[in-house]
Amino acid sequence: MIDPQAHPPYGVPQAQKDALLLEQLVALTAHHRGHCPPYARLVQALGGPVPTRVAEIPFLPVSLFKTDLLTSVPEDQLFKLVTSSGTTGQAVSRITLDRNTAALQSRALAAIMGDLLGPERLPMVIVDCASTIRDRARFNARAAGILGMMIFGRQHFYALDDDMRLDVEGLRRFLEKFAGTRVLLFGFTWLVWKHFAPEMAEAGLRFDDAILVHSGGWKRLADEAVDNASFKARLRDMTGIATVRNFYGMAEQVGSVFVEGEDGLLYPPWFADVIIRDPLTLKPLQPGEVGVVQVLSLLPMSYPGHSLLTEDLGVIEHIDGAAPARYGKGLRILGRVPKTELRGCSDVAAARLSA
Amino acid sequence: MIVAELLPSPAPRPIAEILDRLDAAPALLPFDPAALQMLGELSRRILAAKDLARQPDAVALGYWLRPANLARLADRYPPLSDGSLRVPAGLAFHIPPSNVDMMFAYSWAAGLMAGNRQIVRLSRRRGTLADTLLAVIAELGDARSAFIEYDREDAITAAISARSDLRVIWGGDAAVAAIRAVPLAPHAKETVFADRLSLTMLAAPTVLALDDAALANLAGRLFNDVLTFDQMACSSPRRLIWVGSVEAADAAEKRLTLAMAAEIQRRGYRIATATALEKYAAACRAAIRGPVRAIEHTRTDWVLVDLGDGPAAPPDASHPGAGLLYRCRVDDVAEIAPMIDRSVQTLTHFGIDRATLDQLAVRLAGKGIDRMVPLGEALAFDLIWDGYDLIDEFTRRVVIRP
Repeated sequence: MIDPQAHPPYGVPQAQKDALLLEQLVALTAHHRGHCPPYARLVQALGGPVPTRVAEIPFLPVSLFKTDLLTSVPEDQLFKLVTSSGTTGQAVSRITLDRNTAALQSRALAAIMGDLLGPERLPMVIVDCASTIRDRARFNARAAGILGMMIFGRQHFYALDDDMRLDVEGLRRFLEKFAGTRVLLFGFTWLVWKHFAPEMAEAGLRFDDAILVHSGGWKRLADEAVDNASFKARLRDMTGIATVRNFYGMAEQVGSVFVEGEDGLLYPPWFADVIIRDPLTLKPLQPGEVGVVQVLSLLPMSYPGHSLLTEDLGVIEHIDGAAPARYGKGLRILGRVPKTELRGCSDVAAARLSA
Repeated sequence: MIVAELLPSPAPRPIAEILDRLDAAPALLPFDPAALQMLGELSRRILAAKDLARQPDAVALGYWLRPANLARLADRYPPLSDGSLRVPAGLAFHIPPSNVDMMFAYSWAAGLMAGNRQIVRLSRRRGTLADTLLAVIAELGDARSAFIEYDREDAITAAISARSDLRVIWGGDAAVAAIRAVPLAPHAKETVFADRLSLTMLAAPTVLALDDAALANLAGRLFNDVLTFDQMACSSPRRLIWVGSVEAADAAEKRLTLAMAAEIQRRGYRIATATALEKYAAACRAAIRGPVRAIEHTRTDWVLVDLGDGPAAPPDASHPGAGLLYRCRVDDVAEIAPMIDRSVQTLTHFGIDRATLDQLAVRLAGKGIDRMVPLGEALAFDLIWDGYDLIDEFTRRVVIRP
């Protein structure tokens, strides 16, 4: 087991990181083979030699967490079941956490956010409604994300009401109270873009010293042809927020998030990494080549999620290219792999007849 | 109730008007020269049409309908020995699948051979090839048929069903269940083609004995069987069975896999990234849920999931298509019996002799497998389909005793 705070998040050069990750990932693979029989069957079937490179660690398709419960802890040690925030009707991932893994995730996030936000807790605006986390029955990755971030701020204010409208009066009071103080905002990319920023502009409210941390994917923004650069520019226009940092993370690897650096690229911390794979051969690609994103993390002890093949496309722009500020791989996410539809016998037009 | 009539004259039209017109159309007897002449003409036009002659499945339809083959098919139905007369069922209502663009034409052509008046409901999700073919059919001026499309409306299906003598449903099981819930006229009958599963079986020593040219030819035929419709046709094999020793099967598989990679390359078959990920996930899911000896995933366009020795089935029926085969090995053909149930439609074979196939069929005694055909002919249509004789299904008999 590792301590996510043993090194500065981006302080380990890639060569050194590769060696460190290889040893730990081999150990994690063995751990999960020993504690999760279905995973052991999979690794057996995938075969291959004992890994001598990180790229040889077996990788699990992330979609399996939606169809199969994969866990390495006995039921009595189960601390929390996290589900991904799928839209209604979609299958959601189910991730089992024990206390140990949950603690690792918290320490990891603390290391990453400490690096980004500094040691002091800032007054915090949560770009969401309070009921998102109040309703435990709906406890999902969105709520978990908010709860995980809340500890990095103080004097929390929920900017949206239950109808997802901006609480204009509440926000006005918050801004008056903390005038001249640096403020932290956190929210999901789409909510910020669609529900928060336009209403702020309309109400004529502005931040003069604020940092926004956001996540949750670009799919719907891409549909509106909004990229990271225009997102930042428009947001600054509408709200006055000068510093905007995206991060890439998923319910299946909570804690090891890749935060955007000054250059706009996403950086895995030292206890996590990314590999880009060719969709045809599943072999690793070189920097500059676009492929499917595989994420690796040393945090998942309670479920076999330390090496996952995602359904995202990405490209590594450089390795150690932003050193010494940031060692490691600079990643650009290019969005979801486009959905395709193969028509099967069960797709006769009339299948929808009585739907 | 309005539907979109595609043929004979494209326009929104009340369904009752279409049915009235079909009722008034003159009757034909099975294999009437006029019907055969029309189908022969369709064959000529398909094979002469530039955009269709490039499509293997359209060409296959064209060949199936050429006059010489129609004559052969007709010869299979000589006058009945008891003196009774074959007559058409009447008005046939076809609900073809959307996944195989040519299927509606086979269903319609078989119905026309049987002499029926016909109404064909086409899927709104049909491919462009179906529309191209429809344009060619339009040139024939068939007065006994209507081709229509409409959105999911049970009321329209019910209106057509109430006036039909025969309903032909090409599944999906979900489609069959949904349409079956819509009543038919009391005297009418229904022919249903449900979800099916198909297998391929190869004798390992025979594959090992092939020279390179013959191996490439085999790969070409396997490509046609498996990948023509992205492995989504019911007749496309989803499981591969080696017959032979462990050593022979492994060696034969190595040869065949290399030959398939070359064939896939030669034919320019490409799968989408999402499909590649789905195939990898399906293979991993199988391993998570049950014993899998190995996942062969050097390339995601041809994935073999090795279920090991002896008859074996994957842990669930879901299948992503586009080139994923569950593979097992047996010493003897008879061993596959436990893998066979009523859902198995086609067994394509290579290097297996007639006597062995006969023995297998006798042993199964109807437990499953409707057709055993040489590897490469999985998708070849015949009037005997899913175990039914379509001419028998689409006709009635008038008993005449003097």
